Amino acid sequence: MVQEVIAKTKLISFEDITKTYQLDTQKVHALRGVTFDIGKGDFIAIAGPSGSGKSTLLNLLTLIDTPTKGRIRYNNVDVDTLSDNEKTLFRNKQIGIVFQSYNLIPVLNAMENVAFALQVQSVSTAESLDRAAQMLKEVGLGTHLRHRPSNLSGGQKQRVAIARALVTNPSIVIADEPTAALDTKTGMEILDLMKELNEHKRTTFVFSTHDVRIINSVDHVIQIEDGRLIN
Amino acid sequence: MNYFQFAIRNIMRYKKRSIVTIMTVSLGFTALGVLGGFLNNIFSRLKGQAIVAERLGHLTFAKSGFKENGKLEPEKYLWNKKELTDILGVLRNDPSVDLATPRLRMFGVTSNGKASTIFITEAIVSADDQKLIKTNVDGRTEVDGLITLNSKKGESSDVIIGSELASMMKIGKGQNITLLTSTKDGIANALDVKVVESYNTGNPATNDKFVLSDFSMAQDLYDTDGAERVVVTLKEPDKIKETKEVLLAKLKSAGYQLEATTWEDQSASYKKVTTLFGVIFRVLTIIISVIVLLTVTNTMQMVVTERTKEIGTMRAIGMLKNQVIKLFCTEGLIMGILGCLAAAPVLLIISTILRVSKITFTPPVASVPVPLVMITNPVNIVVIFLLFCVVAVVSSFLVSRKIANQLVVDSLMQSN
Repeated sequence: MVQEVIAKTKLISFEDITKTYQLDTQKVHALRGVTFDIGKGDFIAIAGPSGSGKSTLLNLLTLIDTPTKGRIRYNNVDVDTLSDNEKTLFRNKQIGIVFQSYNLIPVLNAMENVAFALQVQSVSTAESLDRAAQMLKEVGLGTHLRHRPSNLSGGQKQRVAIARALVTNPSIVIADEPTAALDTKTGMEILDLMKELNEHKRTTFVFSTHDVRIINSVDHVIQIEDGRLIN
Repeated sequence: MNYFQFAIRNIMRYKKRSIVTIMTVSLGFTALGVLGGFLNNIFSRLKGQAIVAERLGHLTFAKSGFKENGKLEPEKYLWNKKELTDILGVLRNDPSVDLATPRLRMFGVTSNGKASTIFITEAIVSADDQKLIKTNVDGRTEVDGLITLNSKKGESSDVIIGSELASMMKIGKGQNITLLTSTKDGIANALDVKVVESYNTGNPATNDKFVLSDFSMAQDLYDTDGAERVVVTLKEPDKIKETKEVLLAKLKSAGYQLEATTWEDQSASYKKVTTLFGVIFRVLTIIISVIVLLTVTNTMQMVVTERTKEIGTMRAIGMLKNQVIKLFCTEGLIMGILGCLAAAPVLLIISTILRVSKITFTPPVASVPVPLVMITNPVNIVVIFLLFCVVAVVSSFLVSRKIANQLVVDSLMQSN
């Protein structure tokens, strides 16, 4: 009975994941047999020093990279069996990504940047802009819909990025050091926003961070060092 | 936001680079447009020279085998009076025929009493020739300086000779020359004729030996009451091939197995010049297209390099590889279209300047200067337009395909 409940709530499972890079003649072991599960609605931080394997772990979580060994399951689906296009579509529908440096498209305004994630799904322009505007209002940017990224502050850009990650109603949002490029106050505001969205929408959040205050405010922490989980 | 809007914004984002690319396309389009316009002018003038000045008409009918052996055994390919009347009847009654006129051609020696040289005479029915020299060729009904015999005023022994022949023989208007040739039976025959005019035939190969003579005079000289050929002009020259078959079939059912040759088949100089210039134009088209291809490729390569991280982001968000390629191809296509559109007013200005300035030039294998103008063929323009659009899309495709196939993680690691 207990196992059944766990199976139902498990969103992602990493099974003995190894990632090795070839750097010239040298082999770099970024991850060494990592195994963990992420449940639905979790609010998790991945912590560790630089070079510990955090980014590699996030790349594997977002399906933009593939493991050298091991198996990744999303909702019990073995994602390694998916083709590149299938992974892209899966990512678009199931995973929201927030980048450390926002990665907004400079020629699109805030609303268009958010709508972009829907438009690649062939959602009509009118509907996608409508939903984008709604999402931007939810992250507190209702008055900045038509601002281009160059006219937004760092915190505002990150809110747009979060809105873009959430607009497709994904199962999980994965953020790579979302507060690293922000000042402390703005960083905490972004964290509060993510926490609020996690609580209200039950969207799973996984993000990498160095920030101790952030680590202290999350439900779970995956501690990583030299490519191995230490906690 | 659709691909078109997105692409336009990206083009605007790299303004200078985009302008250089658009200008390259524009220059290429202008170069090919101007060159094509000049060549069309040359071809059209040569066409006019063949149909009107050389008096080939659109179609020439003769007995089967005339084209191959007519010069060796001309008497075998002569029609008698009844045959000629029948054939002219069939042709003149056909609604597609504008003019059907009998012809004789002879070769021989002409003399002014002191010196002699060879001549070729084309014997024409002057009333028919008055009509033929006004044949509409590509919208023009007049060939500058072209004259013909006027049977109403003149005598049947009047001739018009090539200006170079007149100069060689030192023969002026109103003076006589003797034409010596053989009859159809091979007996030598000579006739004194009066030179009423001389003109430049437009073709250096014939200008020093051409004699335009009256048909009935030529019949006397050749001792025949028939003709060897019938020259036809058509009401719809564009349908020359279909009309030719229809007329041959009609003549066959009237009991005459004839051959018909088009003016193009007969005019060796037209074929040579159009072939040569056609090759030159195609080579230049390839060279200019390659330059455009390399320029667009270079621009796209720089754009793609600068936007690698952005492409990685779009792929990470959910954009498929083919959607990335489509976006870049749209950008290339828009620049191609803009380049071609930018060239249109330039072409118009060049064309107007040439028309107003009335510059003339002498086309190859011609001896008469003609206006240096551009004759723009809409089909050619559309072909060049499509070619450049395809070139722009292909170069964008080649560059974007590579980046679209790059691993998303590698694209995102690009530091820009």
